[in-house]
Amino acid sequence: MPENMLSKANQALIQEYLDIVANDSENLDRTMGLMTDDCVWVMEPTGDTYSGREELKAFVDTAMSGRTHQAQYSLQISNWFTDGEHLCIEYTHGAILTGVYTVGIKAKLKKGTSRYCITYHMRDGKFDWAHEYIQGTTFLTHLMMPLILKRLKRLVEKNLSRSKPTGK
Amino acid sequence: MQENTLNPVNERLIQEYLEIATVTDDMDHLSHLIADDCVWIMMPTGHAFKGFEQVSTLAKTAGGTRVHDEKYKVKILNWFTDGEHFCVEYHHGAIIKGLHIKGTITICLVCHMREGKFDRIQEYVHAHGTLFKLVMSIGLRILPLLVKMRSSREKPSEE
Repeated sequence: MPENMLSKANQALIQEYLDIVANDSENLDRTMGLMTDDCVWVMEPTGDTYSGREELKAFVDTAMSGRTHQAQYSLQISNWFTDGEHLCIEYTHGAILTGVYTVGIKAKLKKGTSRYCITYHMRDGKFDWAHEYIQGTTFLTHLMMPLILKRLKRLVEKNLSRSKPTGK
Repeated sequence: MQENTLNPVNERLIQEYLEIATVTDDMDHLSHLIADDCVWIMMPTGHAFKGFEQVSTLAKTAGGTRVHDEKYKVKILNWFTDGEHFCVEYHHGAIIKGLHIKGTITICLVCHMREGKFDRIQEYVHAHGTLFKLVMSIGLRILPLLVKMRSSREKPSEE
């Protein structure tokens, strides 16, 4: 019978991650603390990839600036499990959109409007890759999601180019 | 360190599923992997197919809408299990019958296993390309109707 082992480092990573998702989902520093320097994050709806600490930080920062959470507009974990090396988590994501990557549209999304599944690979107590699946469950949100994610990608690229020295 | 164990019946279930997905594409065989009270949720629509009859008809209906060739087929990207759950990610290249539209989708299935059968499956689907996104979005919404029609066609008449 095959056995999976969960190391203490990866167990601590999962506990920290679940606490952030449930209670501190707008904390950039804590979130970045979960990832390796060479972490690769794939947004499956568009195939966009964010690689390395600098790109990932810009991505997470931009994503966080696009929404806030409170009461019924928050994250709710429905399922998670691990084999010791991978982590799978499913949750619904309610949010209050600030308009940053929704072309100024400020909407309130209740839990259940979009459903998430993220698979992670863990290495020495950090995530070194993630695949994020996002399902907008209405016809409109389903079609809009790739457009929103493309807009997010453009904003990340813009923020990255601004932060780079001009060479003058 | 914590340990998870995979019992032989669930291990066999995973092996059979992977064989069907990558080699045989045998939807009748897939039916044998489904528990009587299985629930299959298509996450893009939130529609839940409930019970053996609905879920096996779903598999046959969805399987009957496409064919594979050397280029357009299932390629497993990753899978893992804690012994009770099973997660599999794959690229699915397919040719839609009738429309002759070729396309690829990335799928993530999150399954729960009980005594060598799947009793819950949650399917996340992302089509690649604008046309295929639209085809899939419409297709997934009419899928419950197609399943219902096929189910009623296959039921023995009460004569």
